[in-house]
Amino acid sequence: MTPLVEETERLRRENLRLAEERAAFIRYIREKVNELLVMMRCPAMNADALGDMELIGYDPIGTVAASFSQVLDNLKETNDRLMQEVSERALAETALKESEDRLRDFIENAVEMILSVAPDGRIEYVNRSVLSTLSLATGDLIGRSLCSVVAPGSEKGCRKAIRQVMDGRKTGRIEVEFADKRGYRILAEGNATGRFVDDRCVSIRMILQDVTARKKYEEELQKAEKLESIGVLAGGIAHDFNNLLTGILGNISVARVRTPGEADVQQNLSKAEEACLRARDLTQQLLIFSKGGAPVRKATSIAGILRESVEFSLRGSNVRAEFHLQDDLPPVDIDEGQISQVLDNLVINADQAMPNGGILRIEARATEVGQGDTVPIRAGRYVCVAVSDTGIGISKEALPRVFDPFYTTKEKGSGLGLTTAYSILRHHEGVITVDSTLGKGTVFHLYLPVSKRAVAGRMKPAAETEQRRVLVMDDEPMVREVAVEFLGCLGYEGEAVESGEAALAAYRSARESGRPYSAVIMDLTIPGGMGGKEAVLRLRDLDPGVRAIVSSGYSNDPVMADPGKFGFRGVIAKPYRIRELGEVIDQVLSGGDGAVPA
Amino acid sequence: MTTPTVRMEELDLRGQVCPAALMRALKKMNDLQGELVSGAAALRVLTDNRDSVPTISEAARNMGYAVAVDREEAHYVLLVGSAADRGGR
Repeated sequence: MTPLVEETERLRRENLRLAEERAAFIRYIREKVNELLVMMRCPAMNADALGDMELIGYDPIGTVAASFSQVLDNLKETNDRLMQEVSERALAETALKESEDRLRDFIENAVEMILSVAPDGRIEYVNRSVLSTLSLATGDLIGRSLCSVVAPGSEKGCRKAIRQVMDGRKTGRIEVEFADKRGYRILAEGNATGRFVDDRCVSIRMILQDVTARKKYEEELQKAEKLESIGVLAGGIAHDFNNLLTGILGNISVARVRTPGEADVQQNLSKAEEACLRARDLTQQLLIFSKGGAPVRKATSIAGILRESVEFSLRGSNVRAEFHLQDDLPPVDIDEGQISQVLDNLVINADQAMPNGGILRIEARATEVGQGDTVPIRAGRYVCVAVSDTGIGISKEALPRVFDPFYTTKEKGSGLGLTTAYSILRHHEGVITVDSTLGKGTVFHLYLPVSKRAVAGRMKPAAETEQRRVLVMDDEPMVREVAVEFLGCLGYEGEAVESGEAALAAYRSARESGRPYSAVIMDLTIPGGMGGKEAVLRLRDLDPGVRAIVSSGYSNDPVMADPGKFGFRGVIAKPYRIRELGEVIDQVLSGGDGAVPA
Repeated sequence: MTTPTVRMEELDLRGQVCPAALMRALKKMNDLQGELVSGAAALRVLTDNRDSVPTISEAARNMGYAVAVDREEAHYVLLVGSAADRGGR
């Protein structure tokens, strides 16, 4: 082969090799570009669609790489934005949860009873207050119909209320009477509103308050107010009646003293006196029931009085008493006579309620009355006395009226027994309540305030009577006359004046003349003049050692309950008998506190 | 109130098919990147190749641009611009 041919052959082979190399190079470029395009989710190129030279002309790797870089940037930005959104959403979710927790906490811990009821009447939600008020568990309520958990007899009203709220006819006040676990009625009052979506009620929300205690309290209060106004009326009449009785009784007493030995006259007078005393007792009952019955209270142990009264009243009865008295009962501030009267009334009633005999249970224990209790008395410590019988019971209709004056179911009852009991307890800052089931029995609860003082000892016997002078001040001529007569019979020299001014003048002149009065008995109020309350202060200016006794038939005035505080040494309620007058004067003159309570 | 003026660039790919059409579109979007992202410019791509429409649109969206497609009588118009107003680039 000639060198030229050889050279040409070498060049041809070299050319072929280079062409192969170039093809391999372009194939490589095409593969890499395709890989990038696929990663960019673009269709891969095929050799037919784009010739090698044209491909190279587009600078494919540079172009695709730059685009790919833009895709990465975009992905990064998108990623950053998503991360931010995620963190913002997490924050919003935390805030939402906090808000929900707060609202749930409010609702769960609300004092009000909060319920949600579905349109079919089923309970969907109840808060803790509902559960604790009704002593029920969630399972007892959720899913059950509201009308099935209300008190028997309230179902119809409940259904009607739900329907009215659902119809949008009624939103607002609603009363629901529930029955708690033990079957006790719980009266709840509040608001019920419907939640409406597209004019359709999807649920009913109820926010209720337990008003059982408040209602009971209001009823008791209403009863107290009613009795109070009747008491004012009765008291007014009794006061005048009492003054008249003082005159009658006084004159009878004097007549008895003046006719010794005349047996017939004495017998008549004795009967007249007895009738007068019965009239006085009735007047006293009216006075006690009215404001006039302010008790003269002393720290007293109730246990002895309970046993005494009950045993006395049950004498000869086939009813047996059972005592359950707390051992260390604290003393109570009471007027022993008045409380005995209450107990007598209760025991006699119980005895009559058990004509075939039975058991009368007397319980007494110390108890604390709090703010929310149903008993309408001031919060504090009380001794609670329960008197329960197993008798005929009181009907549902009669029960709210048993304390009303002149209300009686007995043929010969005065209708004042329980009224007086009620009034006495009120004046003791206590209360009497009643519960009864027809055919099963009745229980009365008496609440008496615990005394802060210790039980006082009995008073010493009166000193010997001496010949002394006593001044009487009263605007009623009959009372003056009787008093002077009484004093004469008791061995005193009695003088009488009709006003505070006259009493002052008489007291002064008696002292100046060297014949001072040993004691002064003064009426509490003198219409249009100076009454005993003011006169005693003037007398004390004149003579700090004055022995003054306050006398009134209307013991509503605080002076009658606590005479010492107002400058008196003694107190006597009108009308009085000779013996009572003698006792109080004896006590005052012997230096003790004389008190002859109403 | 003044409306910011957007400079309109045009890339006529009529008569071309993918992948050449895609290559040219990618190159143009790379060249205009700054202006397209800021919204100073927008790109009108004209193509009569039906297959190129989704390919170019998809690539532009992956790169973070907003794309709107219009159909004229004998070709398609792809309007590529900033996606800032849509929360993206």
